[in-house]
Amino acid sequence: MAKFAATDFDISIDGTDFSDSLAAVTLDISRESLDTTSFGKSARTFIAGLESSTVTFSFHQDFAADGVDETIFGALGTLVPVIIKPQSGSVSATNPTYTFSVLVTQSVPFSSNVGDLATMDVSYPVSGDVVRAVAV
Amino acid sequence: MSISTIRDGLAANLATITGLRTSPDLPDNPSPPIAVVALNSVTYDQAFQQGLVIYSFTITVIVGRVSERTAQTKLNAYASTGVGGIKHAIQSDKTLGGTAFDVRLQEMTSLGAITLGEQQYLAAEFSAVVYSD
Repeated sequence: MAKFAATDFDISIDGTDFSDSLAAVTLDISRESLDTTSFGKSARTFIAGLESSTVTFSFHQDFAADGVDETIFGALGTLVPVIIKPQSGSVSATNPTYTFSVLVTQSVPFSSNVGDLATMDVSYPVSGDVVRAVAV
Repeated sequence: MSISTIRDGLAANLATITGLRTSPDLPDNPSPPIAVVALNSVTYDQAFQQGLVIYSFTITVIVGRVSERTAQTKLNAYASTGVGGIKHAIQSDKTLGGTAFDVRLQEMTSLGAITLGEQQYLAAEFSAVVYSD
């Protein structure tokens, strides 16, 4: 895979494929930085701390049974599994999966101006590690 | 989704207005009142995996000859939001027969005289947005 347009992201949330209901996704995998600077140093030094990641979803809102609203509202306060890969094809070295759990901390069922496409933007903390895999 | 199918759906909704004909093209010698549905733009990839495409249509309604006394009265009815209006008709089946997620008539964008053949007609243009895949 080379440079590509992000049109085929494959996104599963709590076992349901929500790819075609999502306009954007951001997975930010971060490690805390612990300051180890001591006297006598001329520049700050750091070591890596705990992983602290977040994921942001921009949904097209849908109130159908098992749709966006019902799934997210029903998962409030719980951990749900998320799997994201760049393309809908098989997992491979160029189509890796990122697997993790998120704590569903919010639902925003209504967030639109009159006449706009109904959307729902939410951001969740990742609970535990993010696992990157290149094979099933 | 097939654009022809979406256009057919819009035309079917317009046909719920009694006496309003529909046509895929602007005729040289129209028999008003007649509505013409034309594709204006397509915005692809509004969701991953082609989950959402936004189609914009222009609906031209030729109301009658400019000289006709009833043309302005008809136009008022078509521009109104209630039964008999273009907005009410376009949104009467918001799935367009199962081909769309939603449809909305956004605005009447222009109004005035157009010349077809040797005649001047009173016409109005409306813009509709269709959410489909």
